[in-house]
Amino acid sequence: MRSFLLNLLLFIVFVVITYFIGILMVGDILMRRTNANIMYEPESGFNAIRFSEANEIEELDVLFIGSSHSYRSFDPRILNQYKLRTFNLGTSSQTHVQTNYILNEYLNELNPKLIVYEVYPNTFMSDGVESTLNLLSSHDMDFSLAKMSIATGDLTVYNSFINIISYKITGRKVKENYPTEEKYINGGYVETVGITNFSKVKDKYWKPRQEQLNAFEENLELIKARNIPYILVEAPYTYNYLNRDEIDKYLNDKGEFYNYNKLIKLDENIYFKDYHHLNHAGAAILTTTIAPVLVKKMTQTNY
Amino acid sequence: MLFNSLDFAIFLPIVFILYWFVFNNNLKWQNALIAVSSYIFYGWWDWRFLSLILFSTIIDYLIGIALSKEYSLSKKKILLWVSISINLGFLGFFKYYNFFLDNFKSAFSFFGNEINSNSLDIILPVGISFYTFQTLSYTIDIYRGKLKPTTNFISFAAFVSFFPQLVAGPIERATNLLPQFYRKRKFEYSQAVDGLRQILWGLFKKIVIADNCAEYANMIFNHSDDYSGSTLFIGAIFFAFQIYGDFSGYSDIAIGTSRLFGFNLMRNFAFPYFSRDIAEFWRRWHISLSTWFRDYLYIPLGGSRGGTWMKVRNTFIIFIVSGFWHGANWTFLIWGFLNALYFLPVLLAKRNRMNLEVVAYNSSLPSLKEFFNIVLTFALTTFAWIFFRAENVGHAFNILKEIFSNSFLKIPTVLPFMIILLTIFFIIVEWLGRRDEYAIEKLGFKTSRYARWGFYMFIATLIFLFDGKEQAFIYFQF
Repeated sequence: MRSFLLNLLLFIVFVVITYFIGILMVGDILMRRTNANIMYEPESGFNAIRFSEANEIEELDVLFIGSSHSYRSFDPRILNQYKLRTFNLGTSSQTHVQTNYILNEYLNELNPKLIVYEVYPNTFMSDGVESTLNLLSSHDMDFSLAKMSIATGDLTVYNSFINIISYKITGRKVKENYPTEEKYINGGYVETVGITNFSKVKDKYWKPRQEQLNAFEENLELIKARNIPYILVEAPYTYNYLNRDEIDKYLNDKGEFYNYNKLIKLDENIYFKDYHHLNHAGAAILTTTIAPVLVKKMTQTNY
Repeated sequence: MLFNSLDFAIFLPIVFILYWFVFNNNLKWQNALIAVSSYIFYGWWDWRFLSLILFSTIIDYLIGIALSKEYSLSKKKILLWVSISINLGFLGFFKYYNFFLDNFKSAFSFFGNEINSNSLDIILPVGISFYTFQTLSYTIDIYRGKLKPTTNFISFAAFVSFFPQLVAGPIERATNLLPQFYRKRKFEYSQAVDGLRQILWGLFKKIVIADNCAEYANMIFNHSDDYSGSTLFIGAIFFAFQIYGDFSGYSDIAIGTSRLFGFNLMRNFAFPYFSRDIAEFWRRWHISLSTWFRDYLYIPLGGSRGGTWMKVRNTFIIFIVSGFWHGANWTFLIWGFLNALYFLPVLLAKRNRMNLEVVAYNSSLPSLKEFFNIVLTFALTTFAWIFFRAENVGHAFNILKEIFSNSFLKIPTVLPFMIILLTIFFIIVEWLGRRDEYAIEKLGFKTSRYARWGFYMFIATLIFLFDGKEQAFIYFQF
C-alpha cells in the first residue's frame, strides 16, 4: 500500500508539473493552432478598454451592469443629452457571480447615484465560465479573480488561468480581434451598425442555477448596503420564456423591474443584431425610452 | 455523481482511505461502507431514487431466501414471477408508461376514438435498467439452482448498489460478483495500479473522445436540416465514436474503480469497432447485456436448438427487446431490428462464430480482406446508430435521405481537425492494445518505466487540455 500511495503521489506531482510547464510553454500555440481548452482572444466586448476607462472616471450618475445586453443596449451619448453621466460595466455573458466581482472592484471608486442592473434571464442559467474567461483575458489579475476562477471548477478556466500567468511573466498583451461593424463608444457602450440575418430560436424554459440566484441576491444586498438606488432591466430579445410569469414574479420581488420586451415593441428585422442583441438603431430607441425613467428615478432619490 | 466530476474526485479517495485504512480488517464493515457509499453516490442525483433501489433490494433479498426454502416447483415459480413482476413493473412504469400511453392514444385516435388520459411527468431513475437486470439475475439464478441465496443483507445491498457499476454497468451476475463480497479482500499493488491505469484510459475515452465528438454530433444531429449529406455522414461517425467512448469509457472507469477495492467485474467491451462481422461486433459490444439476454432470454426461448425458423425468431426477439431496453422510442426498436437484419445472413450461413480470435493477432496490420470487413461492419453499425441517435423515426429518415442524395458528394462543412487527430490517436492506441483487456493495459510494458509514465502523463495532460464540454453519460438515461 505504501509504495502504491507513494507512486500515485509521485505520478500526480509529475502530471501537475507536466501540465503546468506544458501550458506555460506551449499554451499559446495550443490555443491558436488547436482547439485546446485554453483562453481565447475575445472577439467582442471591448472589455479591456472598458476597464481602463472605468479607472479614469471621476463622477458618475448612472452605472449599468450586466451582460452584453447591457453594453449593447444603452447609448451614453443619448443619455448625456438628458444630462446623465453614465458608464457601462457590462461584460460578455456576465453572470451574477461575475457581477459580484465587478461590483466589489468598482463600486466604491465609481460611487454611482443609480445602478441599472440588466437581468437577462439566461445569465441565471449560465455556469459563468465564458464570462470568467472574458475577465481573465481582459482584467488585471488579483486574488478575487483567481478565487472566482478556481471556484468555477472548470478545466478551461484553469488552463486559461495558467496561460495568463505566462502572459504576465512575459509581459504580453491579449490581442483583441473585434468585428469591423462594432465600435467602442466612450462610456462603455458598443455600437453595432447594420442588421445580421439570424435564425430565430425556440422559446426557452427558465431554470435558474442556485449559485446564480444566491449571487444575484448578494449583489442586491451589496448595492443596498451602500444606499444606492437601483432598477432591474431586461433589454429586448426575439424569443420568449415558457415560464415568463415565474421570472416576472421573481424579479418584481427583488426590486423595481422594467421588462422592455413588454414595454416596447421592436421590429426583429430592423432593430436587432442577432436573436438576442439590439443593433445601434434598437439601442437608440431603448435608450430614449429608458432615459426619462432614469431622470425621474434620480430626481426621486434627491440627487 | 458523475465519474468525470470533481465530486467523484473527492468521493473516491475518501471511500478508498476509509475502506483500506479504517475498515481494513473487518469484512462486514467494508461491505457496509460500500453499501453506504453506494447509496450516497446514487442519492447524489436525487435522494428520492434511493427508496426504489432499497425496496427492490429488500424484495429480492426476501424472495431469494424464500426460494431456497421452498421445495414446491409451482410455489417457486410464483415467487420468481413476483420478483420479475415487481422489478419489471418498476422498470415498465418509470421507463415505458408514457410510451405505451402515447402510442395507445395515437392508435385509438387513428380509428376515430379519443382517449382522455394525460402523460405523467415521470423522472426516470438513473440506471434503473442496469440494477433491475442485475437483481433479476440473482433471483433467476437461485430459482435455477445455480446460486445459493445470501442471508447477509448488507452484502446483498452492497452487491445491488455497488457504486462503480450501479448506474451503467457492467451488468454483473450474482454468481460472479456476490461471492466476492463474502471473501476477504486484500490490497494488491498490481491490481490497484491496473485499476488506476484503466480509469485513466476510461477518462480519456469519455472526456476527450466522447465529449468532444458529442459536441459535433449534437450540433449536426440537432440542426440536421442545415447540413449536407456528407456532413451528416460525418455527424454519424462522430456519434459512433461518442457512444463508444462514452459507454466503454464508463465501463473502464467502473472496472478500474472496482479493482481499487479488490473486486473484479466482467469485461464489457472488447474493441468492437475492429469486428469483422456483425456477430463478432455483438460479442464485443456491451458484453454484459448481450450475455444477459443470451442466458436469460435467448436460451429459455429455445436458443439455436430448434430449426432455422426458431433461430431467426429468437434472434429478432433478442435484438428488438435489446432495442427496447435502451429506451421507450421507436428509434431504438428500429435500431434493434436493423441489427437483427444484419445478423441474419451470418446466422443463416452459419458464419456467426467465424471470427472468434482477435483480429490480426499475430501481425501488426490487418489483411486487406480483414480491413474491408472491419470498415463494412463499422459502416453498417454507424448506419444503425443514426436511428439510435435521431429524435424520432422521421428525423432518422430525413438524415438518411440527405446522406443518400447528391449532397453526399459535397465537401463536409464540419471537419474539426484536432478532434479528428485525437480520434485517430485513439484508434491507433486501441489497435495496438487490442489483444489485451483494455487498450493501455500492457502498452509500453517492454519499454522503460519512464517511457510508460511519460505516456500516462501525456494522456492525463490531454484530458486536462482537450476536455469536451461535460456531458452526462449517454447510458444513464437507459
